[in-house]
Amino acid sequence: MDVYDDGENLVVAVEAAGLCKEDFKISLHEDGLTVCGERKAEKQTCEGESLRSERIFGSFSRTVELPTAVKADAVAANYTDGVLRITLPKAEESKPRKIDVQVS
Amino acid sequence: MAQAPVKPVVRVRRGADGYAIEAEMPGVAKDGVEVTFEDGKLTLVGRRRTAENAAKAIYRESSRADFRRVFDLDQSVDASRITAAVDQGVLTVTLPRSEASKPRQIAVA
Repeated sequence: MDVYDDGENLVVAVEAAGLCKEDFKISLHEDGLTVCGERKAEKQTCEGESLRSERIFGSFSRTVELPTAVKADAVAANYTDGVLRITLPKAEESKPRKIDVQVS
Repeated sequence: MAQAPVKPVVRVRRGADGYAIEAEMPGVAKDGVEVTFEDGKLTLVGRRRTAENAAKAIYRESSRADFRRVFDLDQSVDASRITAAVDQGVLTVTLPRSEASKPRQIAVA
């Protein structure tokens, strides 16, 4: 799992090749963001014996603490090229804010 | 400085018609994949998209390295009929057996 901050959003990227977008469950709660997924062993056209099996099938679950508050109702997720990318817009109070210096 | 490539995890299956290799290369799009066959060796390469530079990484586990793995194929593979496809980061290469190498019943006169 990678966590990025682009100023406006937190972006969480999860590398998980070979899943369908329906196989993910994403939830946001007070401890952070939890991503559950399941890599299902699909039926292949080439049935036969497995000579070498390094791929991991089954379910996984990861939770990551988020460093700043986010707008829970504006979270979006996208699954492309085997990477699940979750964009969490930062809550207004978490964004960098310019503070003007007054000179008295 | 570029990192040395990493090996993608694979599943290799063998059926009556040939072999199938699935290689996991998350973050690699179709245009980043290269499958070559030469001198009995099958080379799978997956190049990751360049990272988004605007974002600051708070926590990073993934590697920036490209994927590369080489397989020695046995004589039974018909190299001219090898096909490859990518779906959600999984590269599947199908290697059919040549007709000549398939088991054959020999009639006894």
